[in-house]
Amino acid sequence: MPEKVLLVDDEPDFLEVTAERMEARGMNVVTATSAEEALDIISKESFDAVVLDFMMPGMDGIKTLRKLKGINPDLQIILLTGYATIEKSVEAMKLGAMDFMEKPADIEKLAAKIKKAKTEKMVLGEKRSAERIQKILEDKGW
Amino acid sequence: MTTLSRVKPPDQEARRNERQFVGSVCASISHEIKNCLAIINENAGLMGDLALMAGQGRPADPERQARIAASVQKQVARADQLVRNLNRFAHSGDIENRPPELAASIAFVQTLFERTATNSGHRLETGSIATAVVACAPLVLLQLLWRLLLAGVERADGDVLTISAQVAGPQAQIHLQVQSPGTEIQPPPLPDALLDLAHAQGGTVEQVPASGSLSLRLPLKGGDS
Repeated sequence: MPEKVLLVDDEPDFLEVTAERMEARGMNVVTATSAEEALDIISKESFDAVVLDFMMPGMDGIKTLRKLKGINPDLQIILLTGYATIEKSVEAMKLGAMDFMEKPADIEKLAAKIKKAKTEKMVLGEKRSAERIQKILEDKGW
Repeated sequence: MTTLSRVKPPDQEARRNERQFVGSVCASISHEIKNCLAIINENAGLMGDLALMAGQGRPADPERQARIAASVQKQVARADQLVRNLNRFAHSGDIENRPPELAASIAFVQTLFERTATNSGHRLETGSIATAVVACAPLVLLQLLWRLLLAGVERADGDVLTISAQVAGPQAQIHLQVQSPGTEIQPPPLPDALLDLAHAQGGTVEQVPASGSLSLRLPLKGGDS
């Protein structure tokens, strides 16, 4: 099954070409040009990974990351940035970003991270299912 | 109207503020250049993908290739303008003895500040700008204008900031019109870096508490003040 990815960047030219290249690699890509649009999409659809530009008009990457995680704590978010500083990387990872890549990014490395994100999401999904089953077993006293 | 000023800061603080300003401008420009490079990189990658597909028998699409070339050219032109701006900014420190023309300096700072304004959800507009030459170094005037815009963004409730300039006696008066949240909300204090630098040039910064609008007064070259 193809990886379903939400690609968020305020540069339409970047979105168009990157989405085309990701789709050529078998991914199913939805794009958003603002943090607000991304938040709206995330509240309605499920994704294996979100590739998020760190610096966008209106809402910075950290704030967007926080809001995305607020909607879905299991979201696998890969941050893209024009300048990757150690401080920002640490802050982003602490807030739950899965990974951090500097622009211009290598699409093959990005694709590998997206595959990893899908695996992480599946592991988290299985863990949540196991927790739910355990809770039912405990509640019912079986 | 409240006039605010502080005693002259130590040179060390002024130098630190100038380094911080230069760093902010360079960071903003370099970020934009990286965005251009990212788009060029993706287009180059797409060309590679299409070449690979053509090698596997998929027919080439000349229209698609022309669009890729146009996109690359657009980004090269954008990056070229950014580098020109960076170069002009870098050389503004070389011409300390040439007093700056106000209108050109305002237009340049608006260009440099555009990304910062956009990222914070603001839009810069220009009102009438008088022709005047200010009695300070070009880099100092750029820093003053940048810090004025930054202070405006920090206190703006609306999304539009309008900058205008006029000559009032021996001074240039640069006015930044900011929509404020209203009289019941106290605007944040003006930043020391702006107050100190204006004071060091024989100028002042004022704010109208009711509107949050800011006014920077600086001596004109050849003025009496």
